[in-house]
Amino acid sequence: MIPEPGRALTDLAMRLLLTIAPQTANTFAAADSLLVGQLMLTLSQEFERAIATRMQDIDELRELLAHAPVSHASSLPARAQFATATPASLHLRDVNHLHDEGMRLLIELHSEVELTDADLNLRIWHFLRAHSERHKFD
Amino acid sequence: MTTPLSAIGDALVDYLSAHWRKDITCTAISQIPGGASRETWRVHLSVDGSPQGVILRRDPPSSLIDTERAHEFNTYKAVFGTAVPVPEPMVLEDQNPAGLLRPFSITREIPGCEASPALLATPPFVHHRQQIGERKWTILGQLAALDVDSLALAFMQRPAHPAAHELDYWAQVINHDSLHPQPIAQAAVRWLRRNLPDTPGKLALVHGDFRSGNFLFDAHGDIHAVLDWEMAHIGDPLEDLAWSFDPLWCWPEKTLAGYLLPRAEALAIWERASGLSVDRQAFRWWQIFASVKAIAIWISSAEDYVNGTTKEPILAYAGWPLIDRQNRILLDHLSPESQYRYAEATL
Repeated sequence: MIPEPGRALTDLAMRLLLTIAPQTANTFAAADSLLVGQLMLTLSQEFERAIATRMQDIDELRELLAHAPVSHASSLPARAQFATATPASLHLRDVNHLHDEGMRLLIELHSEVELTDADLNLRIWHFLRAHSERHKFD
Repeated sequence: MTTPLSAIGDALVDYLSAHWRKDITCTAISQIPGGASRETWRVHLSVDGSPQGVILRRDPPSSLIDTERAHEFNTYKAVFGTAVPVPEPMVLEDQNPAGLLRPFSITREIPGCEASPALLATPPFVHHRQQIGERKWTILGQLAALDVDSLALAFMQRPAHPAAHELDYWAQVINHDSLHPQPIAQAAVRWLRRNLPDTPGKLALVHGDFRSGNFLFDAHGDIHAVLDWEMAHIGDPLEDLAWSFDPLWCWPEKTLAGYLLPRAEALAIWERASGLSVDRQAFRWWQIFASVKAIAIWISSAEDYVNGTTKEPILAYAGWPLIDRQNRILLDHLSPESQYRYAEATL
């Protein structure tokens, strides 16, 4: 077994981009091959980091939500549950499920505080910036 | 499974022979890449012995942009013959597509042109970027200057408040099609709702996707046609200008809008050609709206890829790198401590 599938996916993408696509005579098929190759590189990046980036998001979301003022806490039961929840497994589907719940709570909190709590609003934007940097593709 | 080219050519010849009542043969056919909302073929025909190049566009099972098939064709008809160059519309078939299976339209081919934005960075086109840019934003200004009442646009709505109308539509797309929560896009939608601009002094025909990639240019720096009018509507003329400036259309270039001109220079060209002056506050709103509309399209494309009937790679591409880039652009626009990494801080 190849221990790092993401690296193998990169190698396969390079084969498609540098060898197969240039030799494809049909213009439409060549363009399709280039797009699929680029997508494979994207997927390679995502494959390697998917669990780590989501778990870091979840940790930071917990921190943000835990320190949100109580006056903003219209969803306290859901926040309390999120604060202690762990994904059902480290399979991506289960991590996504908990990550989505945290993001829903973040959207709710942000809409509540963005005009009334400048400090928390700024911290949420900092999180969104960090989240965006973690999930960006080269 | 894709349909063989020969079968598309045969079906087109059968259709046109019956409808034009002429002796028609197909001499060459090729599929044009990059069509995100229609399948597109370049077809060379012999019509009663004379050569005739046409562009065939057919609705795919699902697309980046959910539109009515007649909409683009009827907009071509309305615009053809004005200062804004478009391909000559020839045939619309949205009832009985026969062997072509799905609704389609045919326009006259404009030979010797390119559309790919990547070519704008390579010779010979790179030497004509200034000229192409001047022509691009002049055409957009001329579009804004057209009198919508004098065009055959009865099939289009006239929104009482264009900004609110467009925002409602695309916010609903985000809410409906998101496969997972989108905190940056939702923050942007809330900002847009709080800061709606006034209704414009002049309603205009808005192309809806006016950017490098959607016009045909030649090696001498001229633009011969504006394409892809699927999202055309009546609205605020600033909408198209803002869309043409979105950093996604020149990624990762920062300073040249659409890989062509500095934004301030393009804006001045547009003002001269349109006779309108840009309200900077309203324009900021439309620039942020442009990124929200774009991310709505990428979100919808990702949903289509996952749940739709087609697995076109372009839909998946929209769902990963394009959502990522558009989120970063929105952060640039809205974050209180923005570093303006993708466009100028002010315009």
